[in-house]
Amino acid sequence: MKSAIRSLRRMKAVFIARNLEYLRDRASFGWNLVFPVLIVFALAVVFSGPPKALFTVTTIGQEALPELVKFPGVQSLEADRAKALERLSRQQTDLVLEVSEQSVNYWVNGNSAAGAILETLLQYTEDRPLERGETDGQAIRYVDWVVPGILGMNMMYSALWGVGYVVVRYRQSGYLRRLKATPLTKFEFLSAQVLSRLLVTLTASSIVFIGTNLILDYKMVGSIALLC
Amino acid sequence: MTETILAVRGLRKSYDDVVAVDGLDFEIESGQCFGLLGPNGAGKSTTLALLEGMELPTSGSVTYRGGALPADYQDRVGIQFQATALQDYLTPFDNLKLFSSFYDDPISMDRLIEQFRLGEFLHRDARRLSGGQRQRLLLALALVHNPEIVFLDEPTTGLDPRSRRDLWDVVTDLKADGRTLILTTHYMEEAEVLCDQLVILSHGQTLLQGTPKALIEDAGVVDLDTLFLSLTGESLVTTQEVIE
Repeated sequence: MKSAIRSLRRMKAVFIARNLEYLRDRASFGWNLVFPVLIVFALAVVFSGPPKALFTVTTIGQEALPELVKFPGVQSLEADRAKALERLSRQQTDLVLEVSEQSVNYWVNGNSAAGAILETLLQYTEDRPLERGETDGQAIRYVDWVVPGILGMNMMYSALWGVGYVVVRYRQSGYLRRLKATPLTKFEFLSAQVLSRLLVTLTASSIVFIGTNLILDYKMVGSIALLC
Repeated sequence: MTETILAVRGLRKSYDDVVAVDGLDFEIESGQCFGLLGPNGAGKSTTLALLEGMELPTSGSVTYRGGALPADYQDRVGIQFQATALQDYLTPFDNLKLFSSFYDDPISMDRLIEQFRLGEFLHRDARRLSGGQRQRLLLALALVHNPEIVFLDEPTTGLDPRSRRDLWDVVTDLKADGRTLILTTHYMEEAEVLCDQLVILSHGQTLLQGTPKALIEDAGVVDLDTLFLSLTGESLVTTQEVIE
């Protein structure tokens, strides 16, 4: 029993000492507490908004629209024809509608199951003549979304840990003080750190970008030149 | 022909309520090995930081050859800090190359490697060096730009007796080169062997000043530690250091 109490007492002492060390190490404290809070608030702002609808319909014009667009779970957006068809080919919308004097024109993506369901619903609920059009763009897969995200996160963390944290560590270890005793200026030191990390990040991102593209063949919409 | 290279007048440094250095006055001649002696907390390292130009005094002054510290003062001094980390994963060779690149006209690396006997561990990760090897490397880095004044902050603390003697040899060679050396230590034997002039500090103030020999003879004691003990009732060397 006494041994257990001694053990608990020692554990308590170490526990308190470690907590004190953590609280007094402002760099770690900041990273562990302030940074996650900032991230939570940032993500909450970025991803806030109403719940996502089951189906998305893009309309060209707003007059005499079919009843379908008022169905529960159907979100309707308006766009011009070019933009609407571009969204359809990327499967960012499930159906495109355009009402003319004689008929209701609609477009679906031949590769979209949601588009097929909406087409069937439209055929059952619309009395006016229907004119069908089709696009065949592939849906943007999960990997197509996730790779740019991972590259972006990698760049962000690489900059944070490769520059910010390293400078904090240099300061704590006294290495910055040693450098201060040389003609090296703060600007030169920081520029070298940033450039070094830029090289590492660009190289790593290029390898990940090219490697994953070769293996996963993910889709990239946009300019590679601009990316570079 | 020697001249006063550094002069300290009414030097005072405080951190909030703590007075680390409290009204020091002394002069350092060029080519001299000048020692700041005292127990832990006496104000040696703070005084050294003020002399190095790394800290600004609360009051009083440090003058270089009769004037204010020049803008290129850091080019004229070499500093070996008491505790300095180096960049992880770099070897002594990498470190020498890095620090040499900071200066326009550094000493050749081959000369430094030979002078400080760095050859045997030149390509070893600096984190795996022994205490003595590490101090030799730090001293080489402090001298890479051939400074006229070299500051050594407790260069032998934590070293085994052999490494300590090795470092004494290096410091003696530096003295022979005609450099001005300013070192802090709490080892009285080290001060007696290496220093031409001493200031003994306690609680940030000067207790005694003079050559080691004159201080001992004037007090009629056998060594500096006994002298310090008789003045303050404190020993320069702690029990732990005696054990080491």
